[in-house]
Amino acid sequence: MNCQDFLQHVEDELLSHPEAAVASLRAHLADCDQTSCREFLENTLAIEEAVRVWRDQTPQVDVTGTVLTRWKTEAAVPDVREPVRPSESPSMHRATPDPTPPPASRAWPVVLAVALLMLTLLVPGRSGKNDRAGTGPVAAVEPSVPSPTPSPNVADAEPHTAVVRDRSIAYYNAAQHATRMVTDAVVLVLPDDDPSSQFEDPTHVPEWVGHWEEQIEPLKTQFDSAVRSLMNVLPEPMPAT
Amino acid sequence: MSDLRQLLQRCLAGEEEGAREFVARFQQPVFGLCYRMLGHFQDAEDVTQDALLRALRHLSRWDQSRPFRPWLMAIAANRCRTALDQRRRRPHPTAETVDTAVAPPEPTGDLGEELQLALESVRDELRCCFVLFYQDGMSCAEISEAMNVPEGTVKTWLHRTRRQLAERLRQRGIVPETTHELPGLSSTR
Repeated sequence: MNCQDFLQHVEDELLSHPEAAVASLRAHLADCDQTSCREFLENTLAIEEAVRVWRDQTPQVDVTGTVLTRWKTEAAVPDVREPVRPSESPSMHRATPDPTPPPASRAWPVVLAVALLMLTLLVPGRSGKNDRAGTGPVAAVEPSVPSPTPSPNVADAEPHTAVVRDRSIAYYNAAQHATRMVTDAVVLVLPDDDPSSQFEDPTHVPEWVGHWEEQIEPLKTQFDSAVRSLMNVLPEPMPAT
Repeated sequence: MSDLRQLLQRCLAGEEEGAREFVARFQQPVFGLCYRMLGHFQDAEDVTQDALLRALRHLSRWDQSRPFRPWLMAIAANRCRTALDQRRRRPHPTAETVDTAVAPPEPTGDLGEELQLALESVRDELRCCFVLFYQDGMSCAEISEAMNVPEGTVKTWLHRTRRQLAERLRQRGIVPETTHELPGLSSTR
């Protein structure tokens, strides 16, 4: 180990075992006359000694009375600097203790709000433009939902509302169709296995997994014939002249 | 540690005696950091009060899965940084006072005072790191937690501070010129 590596090692050791580091430095200097090593030792000794004196010179202080007085004063006056919770807007901020119930008991208003929003968007308007809504599951609840209170400026608001409603219903129907397609595809691919048995026996391999090669065989055959016919259609490469 | 947790629970419950114990227990380490960071007794006392009060006020924000001391010292270090920033924004001394304000004091021969003087010349984060390690006895991992930097950075900062302090002490004639005579080590950390 050269001097540079050694000093690096000693420098690390100084943070955990300073006495051992100094001892090894002294031992190193018995065989080394490098000025850098000697200077390092002198610096180390000076810092260690200075730190010892410096640490003992820290004055004592007693702020107990002042801090307690201020703490009690603050406790008596509501702290308006309390941070605002993310779920609250600044205008909702209260200095008094927060009586908001825990999240679990707050779930039902959220669900209700979402349900109302969905119903508002999906219920067909009085203009009779939303024929597609009748095909969805919303049609069943349609008669029981009261129509929203008309705004004072109904003439202006109505076309926009109708457009939004139409787009929402179209999106809803498309999503429903997509869900049905995916569900059908999964049902076609996956046989009705008992999922619990897979966890009971770790070596269990479901039927559809074990015979997947047989199941995709028709697809492979069709793909191969398609590639062959494509190759037949393509012209023969011309030899180089 | 359970003793500390009980104390903190009492503080959280608003118990005055608990708060008194809390302040009595932590005022000295917090003041030590503030005093070494600011180099001024009165300023350090004010910042110590602020830091302890802030810690009491926001005790509920302390993550109980983590050690408490780094959290508290981080608050104190932040208050010190704010105080130092405010101090630097104050108007500079006038031309008449510059001569006396800038002139470096004569070497006192007191190692502790010389070290504090040298310490005031290094960067704030290096000084904070050094004080937490050598005065407060915090480990590199705890300092890393308190200062929100990797542990390797803490070690690098400590090495760098030691080198800068040694250089400064050498300039001030506290560390003798390199000789073949090795001084004895009277004590270590």
